[in-house]
Amino acid sequence: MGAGFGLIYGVTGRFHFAFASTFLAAPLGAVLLNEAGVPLVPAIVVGVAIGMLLGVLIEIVVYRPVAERSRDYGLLAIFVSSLGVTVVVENVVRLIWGSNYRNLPTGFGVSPIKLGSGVTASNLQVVGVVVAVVLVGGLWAYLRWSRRGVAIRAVSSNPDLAESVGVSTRVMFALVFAIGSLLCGAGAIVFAMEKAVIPDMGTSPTFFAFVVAFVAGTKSGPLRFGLTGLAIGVLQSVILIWVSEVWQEVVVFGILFFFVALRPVFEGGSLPWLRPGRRAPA
Amino acid sequence: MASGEATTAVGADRRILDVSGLRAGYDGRPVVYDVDLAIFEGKITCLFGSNGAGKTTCLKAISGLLRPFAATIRYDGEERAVGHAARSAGEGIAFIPSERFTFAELSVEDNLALGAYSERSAAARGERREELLDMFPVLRERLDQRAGTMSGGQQRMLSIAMALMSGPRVLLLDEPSLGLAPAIVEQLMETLARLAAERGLSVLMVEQNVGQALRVADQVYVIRSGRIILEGEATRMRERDDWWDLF
Amino acid sequence: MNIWLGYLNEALIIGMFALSVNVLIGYSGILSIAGVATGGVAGYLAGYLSAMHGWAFLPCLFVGIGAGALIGILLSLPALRLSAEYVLMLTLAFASVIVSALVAIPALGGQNGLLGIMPVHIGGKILLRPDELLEFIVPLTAICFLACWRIIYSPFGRVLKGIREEPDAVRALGKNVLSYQVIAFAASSAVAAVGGVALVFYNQLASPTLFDFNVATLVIAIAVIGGLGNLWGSMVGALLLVSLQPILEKIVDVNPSSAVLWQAIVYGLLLLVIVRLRPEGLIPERASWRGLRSALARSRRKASPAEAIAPVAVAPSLPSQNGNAAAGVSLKAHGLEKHFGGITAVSDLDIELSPGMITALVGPNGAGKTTVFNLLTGQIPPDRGEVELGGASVSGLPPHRVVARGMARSFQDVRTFTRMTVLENVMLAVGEQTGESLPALFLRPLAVRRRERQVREWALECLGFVGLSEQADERAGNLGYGSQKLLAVARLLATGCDVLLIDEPASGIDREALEPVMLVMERLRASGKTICLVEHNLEVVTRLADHVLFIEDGKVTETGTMDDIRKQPRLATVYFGHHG
Repeated sequence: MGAGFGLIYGVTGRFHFAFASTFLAAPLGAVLLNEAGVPLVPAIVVGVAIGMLLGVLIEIVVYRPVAERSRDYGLLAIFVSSLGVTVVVENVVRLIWGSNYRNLPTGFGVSPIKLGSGVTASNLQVVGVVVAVVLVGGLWAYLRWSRRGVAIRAVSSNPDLAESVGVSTRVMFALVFAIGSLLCGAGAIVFAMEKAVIPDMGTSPTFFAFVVAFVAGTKSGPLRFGLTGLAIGVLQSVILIWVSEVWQEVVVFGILFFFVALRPVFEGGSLPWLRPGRRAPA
Repeated sequence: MASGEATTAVGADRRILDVSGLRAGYDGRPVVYDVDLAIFEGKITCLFGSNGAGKTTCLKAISGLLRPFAATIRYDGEERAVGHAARSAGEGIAFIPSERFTFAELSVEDNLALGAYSERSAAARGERREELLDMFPVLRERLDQRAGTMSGGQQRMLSIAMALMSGPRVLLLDEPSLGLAPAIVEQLMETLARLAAERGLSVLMVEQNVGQALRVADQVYVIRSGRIILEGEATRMRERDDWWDLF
Repeated sequence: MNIWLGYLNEALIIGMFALSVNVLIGYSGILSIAGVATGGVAGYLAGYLSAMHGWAFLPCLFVGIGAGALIGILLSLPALRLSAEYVLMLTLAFASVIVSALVAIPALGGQNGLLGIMPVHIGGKILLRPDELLEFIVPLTAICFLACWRIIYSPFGRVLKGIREEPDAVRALGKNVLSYQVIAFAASSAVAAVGGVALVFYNQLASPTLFDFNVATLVIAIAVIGGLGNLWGSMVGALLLVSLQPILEKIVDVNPSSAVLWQAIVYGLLLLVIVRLRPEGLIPERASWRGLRSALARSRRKASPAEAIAPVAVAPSLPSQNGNAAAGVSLKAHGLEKHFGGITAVSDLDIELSPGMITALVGPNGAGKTTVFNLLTGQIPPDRGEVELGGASVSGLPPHRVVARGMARSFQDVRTFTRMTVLENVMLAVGEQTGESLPALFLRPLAVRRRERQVREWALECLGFVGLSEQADERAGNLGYGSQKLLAVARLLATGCDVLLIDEPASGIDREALEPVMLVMERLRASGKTICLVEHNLEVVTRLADHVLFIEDGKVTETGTMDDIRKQPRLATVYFGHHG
């Protein structure tokens, strides 16, 4: 998920908080279809597709007009819009489909697997890991080798020059949103299988996605995101075992806090608040 | 419009790019007022002026990166819509900015591939790639290197190669000599002259560095405070020594 | 009726949070969402003192405020070094840490929170019913509102507005930007703290859900919808949104659980609509009765031309703040050197600027001219070298101190504060304003008002000098570029500095707009100011400069008049490139 959000943010600069809505939409779509009698695998596929569609729609309908209109307020406007979308989607869902949780069946029996040295995992969790690895790896390969992928990296690196060589920024933004939402949706499906589908399921994972994306560095490649996500996930589990559940979040967000706070030190050198004033170009 | 010297067209050569009434600027304020430029096929046209005179604005408006307030642009005889940068490359107009002219985080190979992004035919892309790597052997040696780690001159070479990958008919260059050592600039100018002569490439070059550019120029314009104050054949310009007055 | 009063109470409390958000995001331009969480800490702290130690309300309140302000200051230290999106992340992380910590710390009661908070009593009477609770909430809200009002509509607030748009320009005009921002953070956090404490005591309960992300989102929505930069808007917005739910329930007769959902949907949609169509919010920043009246008056008068073609009724001699004639200050810099990484931008550079003279720096691109300005004014510290202003050393001082000593610079891209009026732009530049210190604002209002009047008169004189008097109340962003250049000069003048460094006064404007600028330069020289220009337009240099320094590769290689420079073929080669 970190990779998905990081991709979107790194390329478009849009703080897509409504990522949470996509997280909700994909499994919800799958569940509804499944309950309506559609077999599991197609339901999942369509669910993910719905998530992607939603993501692209949000970019085109909400973000783009806002970004083009208010240059002054730019970041704030986008962030606030994404908050708005999240709120609307979550509550519309509650209104129409109720606030109860629903289950997404897995289609195979969930059973524990021993991984050695006292660590166990369910086979569902293993599947989840495999899916994550495949998607992140696939994204990396796509960005590295396909024409469109290189174009996406170009937009991230130098948008003006990209336009000059014929890469349409608008199209690439939409594409990036689609891909990011794909990753989000896939993650959501696995999550839903393990836990359940509830209207506010999106917020927490989205926050964690932020942590991953920002700690890894927003312009990193997918591999770095993936590894960071892994590290944070492991850390979470460790805390769960050693301390207690409630401290999980504190530590993870605390890490994010210190990372961001100390970023200027990593970049510039001296302690930030001792030297006011910025460098100007020669 | 031009004041002073009379305009002389360079023979009966074709105008490949004809800009008239260009008025452009930023944030609603014009920086360039009523500029007319004519670029002839296979010739090198130079636009000189000091900083802040409006040279870059002109180029950006022509390439489409900046939407002009008013302009009539005829490309190859036909009127062309303004303000669409991404289309320019596909139509044969390539633009190289004065700064940040490569994708620094990407490899040389990727940079070249991007230069050819607008070229649909994979065969043509492959062909041009070979050709350009022959022309700039230093790039062939560094295909996997990140563009940002190369020297300024090498990156310039790369940016020209990138522009040429799209098979353009018109090349718009913004201060190509900026930050480069004189020897490299000389090389650069010679390459451009060769390209113009051998392939009929038309070049519009914006420069502050009058000396080097004049050596290869065919046609010259001088811009100051947003207006063209001088235009004429390069041969006549080479004899001038009162450049101080023009900047 | 009581039910409605209950909602009113809630609205007012939420309104306080919205005010706090407004001060920081709307007015200072700092994208922080830590307000509600800060309020949470303050609220919990106050609640803890009350529930566990039986403290009375007021002492708890003060402790809460103190804690809030402290958090604000601590947060500001890292936050102010970061760019906008990172500030957002930082405050988001902060808020998340706080909320999850509030749940995690056992002493604070976990999910259920702290119970048993003593109710508020005033004069012996215990306040329990909504109409009674009003008695303490309304005064609190009013005080917060007035405090925010005072801060914002004041010289201090003016500087904040400037920082919001162009922090470098504000710094270059002599204000210590960092301290303003830290204070804004502290003030905003203090107001949030009041809200937090009020919320906790109102509910007689401190629970994490009172301060979680949903609440923070609601508060931001209220601030945006009501209008960022307008305090009334925040209160109106709060009333509107909080009352949505009961209105839906009671009047429209929607069932209660749906009503909550609809409320959220409505405010989410409103948010989207407002951001898209009317980013300033329901009530725009400048709205006030006075503003409305002056806008009407202005539209009735004949519209003044946007461009200043020729200065009108200009003061023949330079106005001076203290009434004494300018004594003439000179600037000497010796041995300046600066390296960036492996590149030497400036090496062994000497400059001397004398009063009543215009010195120009010319040279090819990248020769280091703007770097020289940055070194002289302290924007970048030199690696080596000394700078002496009027005999006293200013080496190593930060920009705002250098201005206080008497040297100021303008920017190549003007950087006027486009959202303020022309007059406000100039007023901001004046130094030593009583109204810029917070204690003075609250404790010495008369002195503040007196000084503000003086500042206003002085600013008008400066505008008169450059010929922009007619446009004093125009929005600076509406001015033509040439007039904005003049405005930048007026700002410099207003600082009272004698040494003026002007960066590319002629760039980006055409000949007609150039003329007034040059006249102003000449008049500045005639008044004894010490002026240095960086300029590429050699016609301008020839006309204006008494003395020219030719800079190539970070060194001064020739000096003299422009004519002297032109006579040297070597320089022509350097500037224009080798001739064939």
